[in-house]
Amino acid sequence: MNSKAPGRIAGSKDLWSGLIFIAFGLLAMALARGYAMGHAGRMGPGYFPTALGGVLACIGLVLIVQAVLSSGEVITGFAWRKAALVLVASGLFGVTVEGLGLAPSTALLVMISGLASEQFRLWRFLALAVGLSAFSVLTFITLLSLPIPAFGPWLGF
Amino acid sequence: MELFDNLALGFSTAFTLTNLFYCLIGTILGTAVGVLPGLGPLATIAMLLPATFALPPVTALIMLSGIYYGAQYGGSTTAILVNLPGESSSIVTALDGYAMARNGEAGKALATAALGSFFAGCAATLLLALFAPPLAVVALTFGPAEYFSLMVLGLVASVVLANGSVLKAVGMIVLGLLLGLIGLDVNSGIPRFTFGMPQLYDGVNFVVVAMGVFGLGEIIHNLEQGAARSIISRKIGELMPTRADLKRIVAPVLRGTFLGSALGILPGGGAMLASFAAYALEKKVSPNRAQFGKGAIEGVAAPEAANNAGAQTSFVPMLTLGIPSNPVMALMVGAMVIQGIQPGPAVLTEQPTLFWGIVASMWIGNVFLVLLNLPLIGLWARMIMVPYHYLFPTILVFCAIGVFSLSNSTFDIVLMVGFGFFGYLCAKLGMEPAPMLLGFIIGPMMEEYLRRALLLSRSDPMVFLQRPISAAMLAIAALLLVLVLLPSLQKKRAEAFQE
Amino acid sequence: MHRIIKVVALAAILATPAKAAETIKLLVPFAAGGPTDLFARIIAPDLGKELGGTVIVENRGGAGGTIGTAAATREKADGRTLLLTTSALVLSAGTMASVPYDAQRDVEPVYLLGEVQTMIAVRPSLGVNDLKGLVEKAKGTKLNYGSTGSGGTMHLGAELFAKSAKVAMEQIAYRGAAPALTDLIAGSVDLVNADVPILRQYVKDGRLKGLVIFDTKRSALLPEIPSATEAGMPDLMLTNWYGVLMPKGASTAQKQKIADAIAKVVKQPQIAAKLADNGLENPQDTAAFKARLDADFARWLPWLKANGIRAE
Repeated sequence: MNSKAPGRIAGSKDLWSGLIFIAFGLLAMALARGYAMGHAGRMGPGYFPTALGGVLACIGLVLIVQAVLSSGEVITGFAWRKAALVLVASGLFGVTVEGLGLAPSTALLVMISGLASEQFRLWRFLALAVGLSAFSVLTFITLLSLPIPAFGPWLGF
Repeated sequence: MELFDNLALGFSTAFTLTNLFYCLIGTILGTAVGVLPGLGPLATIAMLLPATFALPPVTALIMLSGIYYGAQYGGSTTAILVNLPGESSSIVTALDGYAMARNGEAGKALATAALGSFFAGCAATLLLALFAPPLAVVALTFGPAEYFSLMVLGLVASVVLANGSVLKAVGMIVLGLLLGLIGLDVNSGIPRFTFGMPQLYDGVNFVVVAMGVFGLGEIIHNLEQGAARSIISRKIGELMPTRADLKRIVAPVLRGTFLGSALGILPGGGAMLASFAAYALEKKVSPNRAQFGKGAIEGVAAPEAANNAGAQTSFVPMLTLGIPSNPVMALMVGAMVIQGIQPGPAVLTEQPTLFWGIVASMWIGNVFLVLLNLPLIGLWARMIMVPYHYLFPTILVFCAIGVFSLSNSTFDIVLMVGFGFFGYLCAKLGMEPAPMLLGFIIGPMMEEYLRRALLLSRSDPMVFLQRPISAAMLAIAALLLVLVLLPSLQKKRAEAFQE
Repeated sequence: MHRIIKVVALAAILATPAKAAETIKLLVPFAAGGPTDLFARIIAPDLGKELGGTVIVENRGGAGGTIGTAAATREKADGRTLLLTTSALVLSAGTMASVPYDAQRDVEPVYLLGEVQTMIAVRPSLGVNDLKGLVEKAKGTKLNYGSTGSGGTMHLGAELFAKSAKVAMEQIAYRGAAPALTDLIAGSVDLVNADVPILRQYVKDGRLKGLVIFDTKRSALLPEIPSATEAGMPDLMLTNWYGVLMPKGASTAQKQKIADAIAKVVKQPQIAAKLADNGLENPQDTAAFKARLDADFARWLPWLKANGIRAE
């Protein structure tokens, strides 16, 4: 107990979990104010969310108390760059798949997310990108006939 | 005996060359779409429906059912290999299956899933053949009150899923319940938590959440470890369970089959709980419960058995009452209608070849699935030897295409990215996503049944205790809650004494 | 590994179809597997043949059909985008606070595949044998009816009866018709108004009692049930239509060409039989469809407003 420096609390997993729960709980309760509450016997659309939000916020509060009282695990560093690359690559796929078509979007997704790996080698990943594009066109368009173009209107198709 | 006559009729129908062929096609296709995350049996069956118009009714339905239970089967493969549960039922399979794969036991996990599913499929089919009409009556005794109590029971059981802090798990469940409420409220038609976006009116799709939290979140978490996780596993290990393993899974498979069969009969969402319930049960009664979450073979065998048994028995309400228990079954009803057959009790008496033919084909289909999947296991298991830096972009591609194909919308992908970020955050903070997903599935049903039961009872809350089945389930839930909380309370006290 | 990739790449390039002569997108604003999707998939292959191209069914479900319809309104009216939708087009315009298009202007009717009649069915244990009996019963006790939520046709049908009989009933909302019917058969709900084809089997085998068809004429599927006109409550009129529309701005000739192609397809005996099995009858050409749409808007928008049926 006595070995806890303030920095330990600030980086505590329980503390931040608690804060997240409180944030979501309060958000749910705040939004639910716009919906009719009703009462226990005849619940309106706001009843259940308000109750759940309250429970969630309470759980968050207990977690924070726990974090302050006992030494829990500490968060290790975030890999922001890798996270951003993976997330942006995936999002970009969604934005481009209809315009560029499945094949180029798949290749883009592979190349950009590949940058998140230390083992990224341009030519190998290009080969992977081409292979996966071909595979997905074959599987999803030729075999499963999903309504997505292989090459989209932005490329003049 | 009449049953044997019926089964003979069924097998003579199912064993024609045409029907065997389409059964095989159905199971292969089902496995394929099950393996691919996102693309579920529903979309596949809808797409293939026109192609079945030209087929005789029995053949068409044999193929379509093959897709359905084949997909349940294939779903476990990606869950085990790369921790991607494409169906709600494979979430729990991923818990211990993926852990096994990381321990170099991918082959064993896949084989266990296959064998467990096979046994459960056969047992449930027999159950279907023996008791379908009386079982259908059970389905009707479940009203809103019973379903609400069942959901409460499921919710309490989901706490058991957690490996870490019980409190955090409960928080994640509640968060999941809230996420499940996104969308139009069934009773009032008011949109809740939609921030004015019509894309959210029908709620968030399960696949979006699962692919985000499990797929993207896990990938980022793995990449962060860098070289330490350059491949998921360095060894393939044994492909088949040993005799000792088989001994360990007999009881879990039997329990899983029983639970899955029972829950699958209930049209109001029972089958969805089957694998969760089986896992929770094993984690409480298994002698190896300490190993759960770290690669316990029981944690794969039981939910897989339950899931497959549930998939088979969910045909009961459809075939005997004409009531579809899930969207796939609704589509099957549509397929029957197009073929000029009205589903309902009359199917059994007026179309015995159809009913018994489908039942027999399910058994044959299960044989196909095992024959198809066991030789593939070696290949699959080798897949995780692929260096992770090649594997993760591949997983991303399948996640993205799968999610996009749900409703051809960019919005879903953006949402998946959001959940991916949240999933990464959860991994960093030790918040387990599995209980959240269960809450997400149960949330809307629970609220709906609660409000409906109270509306129908004219606001009398005693309805949950006056109806015997409902009261029994609430009692079990209370008991389970005590069982779950006791160990953690004792631990607290032990800790307190130590200090 | 590399060789495999090359082979797959080559195969894919060969398999990638050259830009198709004509790909026509048939947008279905509901999820795959529902009745609208079913109808789309029944007509799609032959419609492609008639129009000299391929018709691809694309599901854009969500928000009562408004998301898919909005997607259709953003496309060009060049005949390469068609929309197959239902009466929900009218109802969502009347019940949703904001719909991102003008339902009466941004899409134009092309061809009406047909209409499905609706009817009231009750649980047999209610002890009611005809519409008159139901009115009396409803005056004595507050009855429950199952629906698919506010603004759906099951809601409107039941409320239409309630207003017409001057009684109050309690709505029990479900996600979809199937669970509502389960509770009706199990006896926890008293009645529903729903499409005839989905009620047919239960009425035939006696697990439900059919009381009245919401139309001027009886149903071919259940000919023993009286029509609303016969039963003496002629304002109980509610049929669901399924029709093909286009983004606004197509020329009359273009619409005519597509309408002719659809008409040819739905009149093929095999397809006609499949549609009829699902209760779809009485296909109508562009002009008749237009008249039907206008009449629907004129009838339902004020009615929904007057009865306060609005889903934010």
